[in-house]
Amino acid sequence: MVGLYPKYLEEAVEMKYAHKEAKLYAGGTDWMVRHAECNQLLFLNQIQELKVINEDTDNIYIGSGCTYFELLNNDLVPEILKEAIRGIAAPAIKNIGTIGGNICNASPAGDTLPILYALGAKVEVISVDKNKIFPIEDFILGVRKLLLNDTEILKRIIIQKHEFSNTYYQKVGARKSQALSKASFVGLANIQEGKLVDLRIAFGSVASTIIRVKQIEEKYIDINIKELPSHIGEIKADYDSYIIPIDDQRSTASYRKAVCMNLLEDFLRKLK
Amino acid sequence: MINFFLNEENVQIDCDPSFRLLDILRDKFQLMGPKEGCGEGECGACAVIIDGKLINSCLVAMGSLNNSKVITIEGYSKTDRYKVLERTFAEAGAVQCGFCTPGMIMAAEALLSVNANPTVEDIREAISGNLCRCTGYNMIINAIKLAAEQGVGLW
Repeated sequence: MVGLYPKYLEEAVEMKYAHKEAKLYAGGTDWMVRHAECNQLLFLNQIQELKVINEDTDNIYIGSGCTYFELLNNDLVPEILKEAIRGIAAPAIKNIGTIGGNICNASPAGDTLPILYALGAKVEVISVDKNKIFPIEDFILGVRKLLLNDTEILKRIIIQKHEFSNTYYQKVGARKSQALSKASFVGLANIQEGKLVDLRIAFGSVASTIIRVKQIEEKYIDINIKELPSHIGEIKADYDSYIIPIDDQRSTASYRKAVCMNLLEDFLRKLK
Repeated sequence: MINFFLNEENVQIDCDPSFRLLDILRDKFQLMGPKEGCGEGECGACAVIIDGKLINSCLVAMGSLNNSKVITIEGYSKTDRYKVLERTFAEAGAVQCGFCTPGMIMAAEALLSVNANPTVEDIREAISGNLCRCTGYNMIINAIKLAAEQGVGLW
């Protein structure tokens, strides 16, 4: 095993270009457990540029190498993302696990992912000759599958600044700490003058990727909030065919589905 | 060659960069305080402090350590802070089989070093990644609370 130790992002992409087989090591919390076969390991954890969190008028930029701990201690990070991060593992993991690692593992149980989908986050990918930006849902193709070629590195996550009048997040796990989620749910909404003007809903651990269905969200835009309770059955039916969880060691498909539908209903009933 | 600081001593080691810090601590440096419970970052028995933060040494690849400062229970046991925790863990009956204890002590230090006067909830969160199958946790929580009280000025 050969280790590659870039200090700068520019150096890292050059190394990745020269060593296409090299696996990327960010926090290591997942890689060290799986210990996937590889001959070269490119360590990203010394690169300060990947730890930057900044903003401009419209967006917040989060470096892919930021640990959960660093995100929790930064004022620019949206509160709803922090809420999900607080529910991840325990301090010793939060101190090294990174948001870039959570994304690039592309697990449907990745706790930051439903939030990033609901916030409409974009990812910026860098290689020796290009920067590419695309929506997170186009970047994550399936379980451990990414739209990332062997010369590219995830540089940062871009989140548009946006205020929501209603935010709702629930993770369902076996216990409060150290649990991988059985299911997770995030609902974001804006209500103005009694009307629903923005609605974003995402589910984790219920399919091979995070589920967010924009056409369902759009269907209920402009609806009067007082009329919403009468649509709850219809909304749940709309999501029915998208929530297709599996049985595994953590939970059963039927439990996951039932709990997701209950969380969806609870979120909708609490909107005001 | 991987260069780092182990219990305040500068050390170099030539090893596969994917090797786990836990194994190097135990096998190369004969530091038996960090224990392997789960090997998956869930039990905290291998926890050490790296650059001031609590980290599970089973999840650390040697190659990620470049110049980091690693403190194990062996290095920590030379401090006055440790002496207080040692005493309060005994007073509170917080040790039974002892397997989780080095990790618990490191978690207590990681907490107290940033929060010298923690609430019970703070303590529960701080040790939430450390499993103990003997004590039922309450005695450990009491021990850390006592340490905060008896160690005023140390943290």
